[in-house]
Amino acid sequence: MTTMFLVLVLAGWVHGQKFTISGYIEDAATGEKLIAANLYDARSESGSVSNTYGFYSLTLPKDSVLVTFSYIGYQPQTFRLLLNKNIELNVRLESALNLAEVVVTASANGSKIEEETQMSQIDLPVEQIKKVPALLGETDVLKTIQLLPGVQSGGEGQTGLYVRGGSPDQNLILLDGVPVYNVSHVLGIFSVFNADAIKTVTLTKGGFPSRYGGRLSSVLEINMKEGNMQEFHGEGSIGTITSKLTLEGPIWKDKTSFLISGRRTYVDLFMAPFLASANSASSEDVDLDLYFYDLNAKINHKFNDKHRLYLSGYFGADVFGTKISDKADNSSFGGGIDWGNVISAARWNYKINPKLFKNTTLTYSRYNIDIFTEFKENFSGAENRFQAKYFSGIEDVGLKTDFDYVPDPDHYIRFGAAATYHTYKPGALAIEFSDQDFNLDTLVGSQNDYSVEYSAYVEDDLRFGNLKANIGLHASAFQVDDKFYTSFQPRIGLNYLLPNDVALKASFSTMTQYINLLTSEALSLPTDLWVPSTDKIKPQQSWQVAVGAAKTLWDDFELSIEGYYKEMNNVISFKEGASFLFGLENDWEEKVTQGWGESYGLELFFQKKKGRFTGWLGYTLSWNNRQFDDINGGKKYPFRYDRRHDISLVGSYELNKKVHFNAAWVYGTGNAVTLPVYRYTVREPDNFNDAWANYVGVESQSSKNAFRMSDYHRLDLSVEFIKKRPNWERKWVISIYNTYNHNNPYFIYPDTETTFDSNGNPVDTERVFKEVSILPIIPSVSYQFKF
Amino acid sequence: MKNLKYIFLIILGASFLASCDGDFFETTVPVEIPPHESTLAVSAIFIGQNEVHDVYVSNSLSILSKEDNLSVNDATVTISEAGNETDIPFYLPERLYRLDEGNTPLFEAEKTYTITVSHPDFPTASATATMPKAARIVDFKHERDGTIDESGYEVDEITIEIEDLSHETNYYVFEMAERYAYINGTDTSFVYNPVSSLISRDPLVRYGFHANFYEGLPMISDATFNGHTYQLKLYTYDKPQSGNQLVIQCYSVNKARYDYLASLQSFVNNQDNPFSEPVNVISNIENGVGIFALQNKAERVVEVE
Repeated sequence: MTTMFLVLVLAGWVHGQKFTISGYIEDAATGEKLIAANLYDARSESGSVSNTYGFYSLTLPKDSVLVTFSYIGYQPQTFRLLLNKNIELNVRLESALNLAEVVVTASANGSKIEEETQMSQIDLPVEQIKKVPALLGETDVLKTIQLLPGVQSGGEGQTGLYVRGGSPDQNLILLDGVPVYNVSHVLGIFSVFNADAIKTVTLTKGGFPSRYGGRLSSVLEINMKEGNMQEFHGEGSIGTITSKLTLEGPIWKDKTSFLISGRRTYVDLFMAPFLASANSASSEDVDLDLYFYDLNAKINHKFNDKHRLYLSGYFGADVFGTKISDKADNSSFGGGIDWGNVISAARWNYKINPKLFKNTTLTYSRYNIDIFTEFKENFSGAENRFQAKYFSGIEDVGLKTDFDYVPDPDHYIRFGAAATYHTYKPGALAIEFSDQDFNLDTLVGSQNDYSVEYSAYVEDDLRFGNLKANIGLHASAFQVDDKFYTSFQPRIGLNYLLPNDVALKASFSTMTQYINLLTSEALSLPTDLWVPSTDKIKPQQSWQVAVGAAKTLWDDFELSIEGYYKEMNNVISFKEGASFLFGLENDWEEKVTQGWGESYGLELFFQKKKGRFTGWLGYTLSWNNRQFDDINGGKKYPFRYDRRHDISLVGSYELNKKVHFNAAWVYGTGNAVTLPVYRYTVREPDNFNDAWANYVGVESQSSKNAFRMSDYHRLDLSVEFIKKRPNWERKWVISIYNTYNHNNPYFIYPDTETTFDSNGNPVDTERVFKEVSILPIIPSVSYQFKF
Repeated sequence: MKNLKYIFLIILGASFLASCDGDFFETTVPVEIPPHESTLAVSAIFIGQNEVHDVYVSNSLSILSKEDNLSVNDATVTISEAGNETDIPFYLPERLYRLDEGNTPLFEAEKTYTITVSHPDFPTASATATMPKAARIVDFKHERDGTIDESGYEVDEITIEIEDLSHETNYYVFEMAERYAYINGTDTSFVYNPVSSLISRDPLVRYGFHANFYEGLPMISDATFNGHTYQLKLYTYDKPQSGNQLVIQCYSVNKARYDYLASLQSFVNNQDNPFSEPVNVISNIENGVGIFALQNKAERVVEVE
């Protein structure tokens, strides 16, 4: 009896014994880690995915297993293994020869969309970003994201993202895990992200997993390439306004790699000879700075299979300045504006055991803007000198650690904690002045503010039969002056797979945001100021619920439909008529107001993934409202970017291996605007001389955003001429922005219009509204190369 | 060569399309503005120390109306206090309604007055306001080249110290003029040249509309110094002549007037800025638009050195 019991226990133990296959999934050619690659055991019908660092772990019962590793655009590999101990297996997938499958995918890991718990998330392959026709041929990550459902652009040509009714400051934009505070060059026309240095782009619009926090509306995760571990390679382009060069390769093969990528505009370089010529014929010297640049750099070192270290950095700036010097009297006058980001991260990956992976990241992010003016003049041998410099910005130092724990195929647990020390420089003016009998060196404006933001989270991706769920909690706290805010944010995502392979999905998430951007609704400027929540200004909060369905159709197509409702509290806006000049006013809290917002709608995403023709159709039907006590008489009104219909149609067609055509058509309901509806005249006396009384024409505005500008639509086209050699590839790209030259409205204003008779005499004057457009048809050419 | 042909054709096509529209950047668009029921627009700013008080009356029009805003000349305008009603007759030369008190001052501090404007074509407009008490100017100084502006230019500094009235919220508006005596035979009169700039770095200062001041008139609320004296530093780009005098006037105004001046200044400053937040000018006129304000004046003079 005892023996039988022991046999049963042993049999049960053997049967219940489990072992883990773990390792990294990489690109065979470059050694780049493949993020969210799939692995699947056909026998146990269990699977897992690789994390951001290519690490995977799959624990299965002791048995013979048949594990297939796959990643979109790569040839799958299958391993037959006898799993009688823990196995370390690093997998190198070969890139598919025909990369027609490289497409945007609404599924996180290239597996079928209906299998994913995560909803409201879109992965955007960099190859696809590069195919989308771009303004002036300058590939732009953010403008491609604007073509996705649920994402709207701001003004014409702007890089701002309005995700599900949120404003641009409600997007957490991470470059290698580090927040980026200013994402644009040239007043928002170009983004700071150089596509040649980027490996992956993932946008999450809702159903936020617990690991994300700190912003209300979206998380945009951009990961830089790690650098080729095998061979030295490069790529670059010469475009209409910028040129780029990216170099990558092994420093120590299979151990250490580097990547360095630079981009610069060169309008100033073109102008230099003309300026030099003009200066030589003039009594004045004119110096002109007019450029922006980016530099991305990364080093990746593999100590062994357990430890890896990544060091990455981004340095970018816009420089606009001029200086005029008088050759005769040595006087000069100059001024300008510079702004830019410095971002760096040190990441340490530690595979603690086959089931547990840790990543620790030290981050630094700084955004600075300097506006300066100076003059120097000489009077009778004495020098008068004046210099004023306005500076502001934000600086973060952060530390975070994240754990991935994969106990079995039915659970994927993530947990971690982070702390960020924010330094706000709300704006100060330094003035230096000196002449014969007067000296001044002073600082006007705000002192730095400081705050600390803490967060911790835990989440589990779990599975019960046909039901998958991601359940978690994000907790955060914020210390500013004597105020301490806390927030607990539950998150849940569900996916139920129906028998016909249609997935029904639902999610609920709450978010809290402790820092705010003081900006106008109409235009983002580099002078916009980041400020913390304070005693008076409460943290912004939101909750969002989404439901949807997803299905793969005919193997080549993916369809997803989502409906969502998002409510936002304590959103921030300027009071009516308030203006903010460079943050020099200490009473910014008095000029803003906090209120309520809601956004709801329906999104459809239909895409073709394979074949010579690929692309997608995105459609968003949405409503987006705001309500503030101090605005619009306290009544609810449509947000400026309340856009009822938003359509994007993106396609790429490979005519043959040498010629590819790309097109993107966008349509959006016109932006909501406030217009004057009636006018009258008031009289203001001059108290010292009544004969000088003034009459002022006043226009009274409609209720807030009660009108619409004309609808927006635009077609962009590009054609690529490709020539490939064994070690060299070149591409000519001809792009046309706004091909049919549609007058897309940028703003609208009241004016008068006079008609004239044939003799040129005025016949009639009418009052009208005029829309102003800024970007007509713009053709451009660029030359791209790879080696 | 074949590729170059493609390039050429595309650029040619693009250029052709670009040239199709003569004026790309501006387009007249139809906008359906809801019908507007015209109301009376009233500007009545009465200063306690003045003998003559003017009221300007016009009417509002739809923004797309072809008509011009003209004065309404045949309205009935009355001012009343505690049941005593006074008509304000139309004064044709100025196209204003003018009340000449003569030697019997009508407006007294802390009394409440109602203005009523009626006309058969418009709803009757009215407003009520209380005359505030005057502030006391404790000190007023002018220092030539006493400070610098934010661009480094040396400018004259003006220092004003006012004594605030306690237990009430007060709002003050400042104006300044250079004056000199004009002697004509045995008659001596003063000529006033209002300064064209009066600016402060004080964060409490807001600016209210004045046609001569780009920045506007400096205004201040006593929220942070209620019942105490307050020293306000200003500077001006004007360079008054030595020997002349500077006159500072401090007007006590009510909140409606203070907000009206601020909103009018903001409206004028942002009128041509398509990126600014839209501004509605504050009105305290019931069934109409405009402003009815009662102001009390304190004045002080300093010799320019």
